[in-house]
Amino acid sequence: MPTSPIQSRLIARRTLLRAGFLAAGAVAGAPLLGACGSGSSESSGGGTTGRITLGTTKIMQFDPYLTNTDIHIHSFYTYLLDYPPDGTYEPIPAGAERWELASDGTSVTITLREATYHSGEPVTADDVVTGVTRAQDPDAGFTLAQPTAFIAAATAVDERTVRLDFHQPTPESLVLDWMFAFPLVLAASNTPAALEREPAGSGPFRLADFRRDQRLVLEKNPDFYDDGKPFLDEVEYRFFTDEDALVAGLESGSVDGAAYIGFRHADRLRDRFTMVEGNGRMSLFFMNAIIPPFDNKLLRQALARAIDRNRILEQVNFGIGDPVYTAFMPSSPAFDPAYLDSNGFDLDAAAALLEQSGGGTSAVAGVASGTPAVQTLEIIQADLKKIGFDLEIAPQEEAAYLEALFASELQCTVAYQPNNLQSPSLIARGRQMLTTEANTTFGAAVPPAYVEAVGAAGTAMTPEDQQAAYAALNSTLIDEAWAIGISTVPSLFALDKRITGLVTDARDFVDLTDTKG
Amino acid sequence: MYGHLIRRLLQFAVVLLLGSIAVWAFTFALPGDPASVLLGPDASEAELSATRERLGLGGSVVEQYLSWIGHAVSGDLGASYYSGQPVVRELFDRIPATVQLAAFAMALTLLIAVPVGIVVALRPHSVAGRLLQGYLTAGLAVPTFWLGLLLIIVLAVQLQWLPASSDFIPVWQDPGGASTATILPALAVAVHTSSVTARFLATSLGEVMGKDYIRTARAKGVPERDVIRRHALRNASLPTVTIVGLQLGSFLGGTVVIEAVFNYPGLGRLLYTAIGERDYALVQGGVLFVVATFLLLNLFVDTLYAVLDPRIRLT
Repeated sequence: MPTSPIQSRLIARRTLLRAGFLAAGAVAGAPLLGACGSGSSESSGGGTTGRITLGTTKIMQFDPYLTNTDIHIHSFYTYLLDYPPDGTYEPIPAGAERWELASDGTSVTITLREATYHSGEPVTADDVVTGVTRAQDPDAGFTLAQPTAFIAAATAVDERTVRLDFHQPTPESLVLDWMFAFPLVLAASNTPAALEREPAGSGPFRLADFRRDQRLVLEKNPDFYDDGKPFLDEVEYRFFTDEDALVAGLESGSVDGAAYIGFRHADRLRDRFTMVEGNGRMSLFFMNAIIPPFDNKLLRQALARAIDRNRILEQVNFGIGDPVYTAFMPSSPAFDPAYLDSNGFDLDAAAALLEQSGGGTSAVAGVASGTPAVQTLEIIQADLKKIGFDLEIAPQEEAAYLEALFASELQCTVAYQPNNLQSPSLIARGRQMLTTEANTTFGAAVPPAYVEAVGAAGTAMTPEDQQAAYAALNSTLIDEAWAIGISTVPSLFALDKRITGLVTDARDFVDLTDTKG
Repeated sequence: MYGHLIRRLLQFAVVLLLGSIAVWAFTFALPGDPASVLLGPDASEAELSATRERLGLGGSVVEQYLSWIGHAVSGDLGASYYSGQPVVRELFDRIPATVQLAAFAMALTLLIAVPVGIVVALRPHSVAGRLLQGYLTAGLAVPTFWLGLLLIIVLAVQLQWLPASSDFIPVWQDPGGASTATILPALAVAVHTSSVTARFLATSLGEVMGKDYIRTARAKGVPERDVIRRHALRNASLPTVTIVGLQLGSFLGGTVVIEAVFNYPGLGRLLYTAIGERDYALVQGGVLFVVATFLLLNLFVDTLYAVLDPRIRLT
């Protein structure tokens, strides 16, 4: 029977409705179908015993000589000794079973634990010798070069014993800090090129799978020296390009934990997740003494007094962390809280010093965009304006920022520094803190008093000498006023409540040896 | 037809060459140094210099380009600065994820755009028509990344129906898991693309419905359903095919922002990360691949024209 135009339009409408329902059903059904399909998936929403998934935005390096702080390095590598994660410096035998310092402080003899690398080869004294040689090369040692400078020679006494001779009597604290930061790496693989793609350590986890900016999977090392550990069978790190995406992934159950997240998330996540604060780093305000107006020491001292640490802690750190004045954390024996009172925030004193300095009244601060350093600088900017100093903030993409920083082109900036451990002479590791002409804030004009103070802190043997050396170092830092401590910046982790035992060591490296999930 | 194809392929080669020069110039104009990003803030000048040399960044820009294009012609796009893996392998590792996302997004686009376009064209003054016109306006106006964030907050974080991010799960291995992982980013993309497509379809269909041959078909008693399906839709689909082809090209080129928002491990996110890391080799190889894909899709769309409309002859 033929249909009329009206009928055919009605049919068309029905057809459209049917098509619409089908389309809506397909759209709505896909997730349901998906949910059915992923029900047996092992990782989503996690908490499965023996396996956890952690999200991170950090870039991965497999070479322990190239990292200052990281999420996976402690899993791959064993260090000569450990410190407890509580901020104390009681050495715990790790790769080294025992060690003995010579009574005159000029050498140490280290006996290595009987252990094997992930490749199955034994850990030997030759590996330590090779490692020391690499660390002493300033072109290959990165942050280990300065801490290793006190070693004159490394000798393999036998298969598992190595002796290190020093240039001069060296305090035990410096030797222990060095042992804590020295990773055991298979000698044959201990080059930047070899470690770029494959770790070569003896740590609690082995590399199972790595896909660039997608995932890193660690599996338990059954031959780890500490019997029964690690507790987890597998750890998966999933990479996120953006911190907000990482936190959303945590909240939606895509990952069991989020590593190294910003403080602004803490309050929102605290009720539903376990928040873990790691040892973290310090934020410092650096002024480039090569570029005017910061070539004026009095002007630097003036601006140092205009930094309101409490406001920064409250508004940028959301109350997390502690104020610092020089580049030492409260856990350092060189930390002196008295400076926070004597040289702390005082706009009147700052204004008077600025006037006295007769220096310029404006500068540009370079900063890596998207970091809390921008907000820190905004607070500093507002206070500096009150004393008549205009600070322009110029956020840059990280690559451009690093280039300018390396080239000493930044007038001033806020950057982050690692913990100096228990030996304050380790302050001279970062490029702004070096005692050589490679120092990016002084060039060839590094203050001799600073060089001397760092040297003295590295050689003071008695407790009295050490206290005097640390006081002199603090005094120099305050007088030269180019690296102004702002606050500690603890690392922050949000974890599913079933995860326990995740800690960071004194360098802020994640340690999963005791983690359970 | 063959002459046309040969001409287009020659154009293809020229555009690709110009594209490679443009990409090369763009990457070298970027501020920042790959070595410093790779080694971090504590690297010494000597280390940076050695790394630049190792990455092949030692010679002049022209020398580097000529060396690169010479290898590229033979299919060697170099190695990623970060992973050390061949760029071709890095790209092919990510292409399945992006193809899957593109397929989901395109399917959703068509599922939404075709009925919406038809209703808007045929019933513009009805309640449904007005509502859908509102959808078209909103779909065009709302930024894709914002919609993506909204979907994450509502569907993933608040309701926890879907994950906010996911690994790539191939649909042929786990259709359910793949749907779960892909549906949100695909929907975020499809809202915009379906608005564009539906608008084109509605306009085109509206014009076709006023043509003489439609009136003739109705006068001959052809049912309205057949008039729309056989006569109107087929003719109205030509401009729509163009826009769908271009959208598919942009999907395959990498829905960069949406992959970053959803942490979806596709080609777009790879290039996004590579730009941030100044991984020149990967950026240059990746963009060249995207340009080539786009050109090939254009060629395919042109060819499809002739299939859809026999009056069009490619000469």
